[in-house]
Amino acid sequence: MESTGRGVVYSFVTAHVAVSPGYVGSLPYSVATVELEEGPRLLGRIEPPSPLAIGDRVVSRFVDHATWTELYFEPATAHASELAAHPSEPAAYP
Amino acid sequence: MSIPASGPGQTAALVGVGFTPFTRASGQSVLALATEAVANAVRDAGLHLDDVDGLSSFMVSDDSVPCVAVSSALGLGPLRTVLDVQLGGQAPCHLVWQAAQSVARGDAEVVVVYRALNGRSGARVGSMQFAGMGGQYRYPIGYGAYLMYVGMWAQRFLNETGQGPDDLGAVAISQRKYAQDNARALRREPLALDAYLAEPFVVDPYRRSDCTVEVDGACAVVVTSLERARDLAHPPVVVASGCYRAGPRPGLDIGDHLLWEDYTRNYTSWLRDELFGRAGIGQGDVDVAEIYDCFTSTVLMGLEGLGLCARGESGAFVRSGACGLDGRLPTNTGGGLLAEGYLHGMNTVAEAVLQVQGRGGTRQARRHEVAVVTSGALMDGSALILTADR
Repeated sequence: MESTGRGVVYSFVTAHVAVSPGYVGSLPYSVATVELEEGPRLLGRIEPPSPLAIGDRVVSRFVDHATWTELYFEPATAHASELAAHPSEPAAYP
Repeated sequence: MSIPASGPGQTAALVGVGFTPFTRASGQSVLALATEAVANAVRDAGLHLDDVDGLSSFMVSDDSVPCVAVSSALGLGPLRTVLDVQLGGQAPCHLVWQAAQSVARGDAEVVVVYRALNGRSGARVGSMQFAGMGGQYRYPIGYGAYLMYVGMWAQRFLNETGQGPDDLGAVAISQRKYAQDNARALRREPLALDAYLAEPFVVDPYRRSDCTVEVDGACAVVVTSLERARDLAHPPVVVASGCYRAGPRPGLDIGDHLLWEDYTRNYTSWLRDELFGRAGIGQGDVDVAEIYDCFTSTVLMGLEGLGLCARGESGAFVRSGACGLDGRLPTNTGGGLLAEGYLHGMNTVAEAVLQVQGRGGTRQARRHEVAVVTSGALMDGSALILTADR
């Protein structure tokens, strides 16, 4: 299935405490279940993490880390160039 | 769905409960905890270790000990049935129901179901990374703790049902009241709404008091035939109905909820009709509810899923005091996993047994003929209806 990468926030959590490895250096951070326009749902971080609400329109972005490529989302209204330039770096992932 | 009329319903009973102390550092092996709780449960029932011919337990990522180890350490006679399952909090009601079926079939006469773990000083399930295929999509993005998954559902549930922080807080407050009278409970200090709301978020929508407290400890319950139960130490608790259910597309592991259609309805919605139908009991007949509560939201979702409250009305129900000792439906009467400790719902079953037997002490519900118990939070789980011997 081809996807536009656009969707809405079905639900989300915002971590204020380091309960999971990964983005512990960039608290708080948000992870959302995003429902794509085409129907399927994906998990991804939301950059920036707040303010965030169910139903918010978001668009997917890719960022290359050292050993993997991350799919994350940002508000559909944001200036993509501005946000994509400085995505948070995860802590070393085992 | 047709409901089988036959089965173990009404022919097996819970007859005793056993505990170790719940602590933050037991200083004991999990095997030592397991044997202590099993032996205590057997003694509580008025039985002897020689009577035990079945054991059943569950573990998450090898955090416990298998049934044969407990049998060896206690010097039990031949075991006629064992069940060691890889499940978490979905398991307790399921295993009790399986034990009841074993007894009803004549496979075994006395089955002890236990859960033992050093859940605080050892491997902590709350932040454990689960084996399997699902984690590769979650862990790299910092989505790797169980409270995040349940929180993801809670956020949607609250949003869709028009509920909020006051409703979550009401659950924590209601249960903390019971815990004050429970010597086993780790969190016994009173809790008020303003203090709850002042707590910082751990993972929004959860504050500290929305989350269970991880503990070291063990808990066991004993199942035997109703006939034999009538001659034992305490009033029999009839296993009237049990049910396990994994809804459609339950995921690759217990943290993979991505293919689940509706985060506002968990397994309780899926097993409700079969659970109550098999027992021939209606929601209005329930005197006591023990709802699995690793986090506050699962109590609200469970009350609604089981049909004990209308959709969107569970928060108001709890806020009205209905779940308190003087309320219409005393709920989580030991303080629950939130306050007593995270024995993954084995203690939730044990509390229901104590209530139906009338052994709740200062936190005993006045009416206690029918109890409903649940095990689990998200895609799959199980439940029991327990009754007095009527």
